[in-house]
Amino acid sequence: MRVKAVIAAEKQIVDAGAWKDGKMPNVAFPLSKSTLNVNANYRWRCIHFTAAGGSYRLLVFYRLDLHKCNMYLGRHDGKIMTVIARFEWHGTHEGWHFHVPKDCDDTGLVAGRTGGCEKRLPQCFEHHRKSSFGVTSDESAYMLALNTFRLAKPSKQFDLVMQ
Amino acid sequence: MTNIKSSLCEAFCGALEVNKVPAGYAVSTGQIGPDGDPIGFYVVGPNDEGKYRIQDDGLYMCAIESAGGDLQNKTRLATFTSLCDEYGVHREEDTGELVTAAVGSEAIGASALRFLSFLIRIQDLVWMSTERAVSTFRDDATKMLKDLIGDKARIVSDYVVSPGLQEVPADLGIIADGRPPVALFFGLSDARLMEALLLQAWAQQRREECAVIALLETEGAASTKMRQRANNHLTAVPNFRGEERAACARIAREALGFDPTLQ
Repeated sequence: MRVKAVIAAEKQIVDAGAWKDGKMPNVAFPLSKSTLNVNANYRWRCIHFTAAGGSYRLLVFYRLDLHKCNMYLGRHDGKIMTVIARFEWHGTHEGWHFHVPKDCDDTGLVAGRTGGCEKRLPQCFEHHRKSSFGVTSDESAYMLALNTFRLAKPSKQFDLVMQ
Repeated sequence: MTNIKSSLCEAFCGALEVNKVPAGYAVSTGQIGPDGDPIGFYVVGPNDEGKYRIQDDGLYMCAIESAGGDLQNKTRLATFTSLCDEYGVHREEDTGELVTAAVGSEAIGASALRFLSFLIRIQDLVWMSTERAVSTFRDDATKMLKDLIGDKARIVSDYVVSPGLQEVPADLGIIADGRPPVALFFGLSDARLMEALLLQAWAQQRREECAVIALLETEGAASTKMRQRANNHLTAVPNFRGEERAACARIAREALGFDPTLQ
């Protein structure tokens, strides 16, 4: 299923999770082939939802000291989780951007890993429509996640970067 | 000379971006990292002594590992440790952050360049996973097979199917109770595939019951002609890279009679 279709689909939040400190346990976002080291310097939250017959988790983690925020969209494939898209901001190079599979479908994805999302939207050094960080608190990070992945009705303030 | 110098300056520094962040400075370079983003790092400080340290955000190694350069593999771990020593970088145990020692402001430039070189070089860990590095491929495949099979079968190296076939030992033997043994060859070359075919032919001639499998690292690991022969005569010829688990599950299924990934 294409990433855009998942984002556009009607969703049911199973568990909205809660913001947490401390090193994220692997069970929160279980990857079988690599460890996602969300360390104690990050605030993180995992939202579990269903959409179009599939089960998904959206992991949101950020740290304000480095101006860093990542959102990983993972799909449950049986007991294995596959990351199908990432939405990111890095203090080092500004601009919100997505990482998605090459053909925006399952091409190149590796179950159990965060890798395989080889296509960057927009590409490096190109214009980024959303060019301000905007994350200042748990609330703003959560709202951005809800709006970007359409877990709530999008608001004008946090419009989608990817068309 | 001036033109060449400006051209080089533009190439090296044109894409350099420095942003102020609460912890210090966020720096982006023109080099592209393993996940498609420009490689960046942070200059964090000053500390109580007025010094700065260079570090990543704790996720660079995750990107390397996710791209296939995980440090479970001994060869890669040794390379990583050696690069850390060479560039004076260490990985914080609790946060996974790659950090340098703290330096005065006058030494930030040199320290940052060394750190950038380090980040670029550890990308080779990914390359090591796809390049035909024999030991890496063998280590990865053997580890995955052991993980999948557990104690359901014995896995031995340099396996000889029977005394009469000792001229052609397989790289691995997988022996489960009540099942024909699996003789596994790591198909790194045409010559190795030829040995697998030879064992298959001799085993058939001697009515030795065994399954002969050649595990290719990638589709291009052997010539088309040899792959065709292997596909037609061997029990299976799975491809490892990109579908590691599925390839090993195919071998495990042959050895055990069932797919352990479905258990």
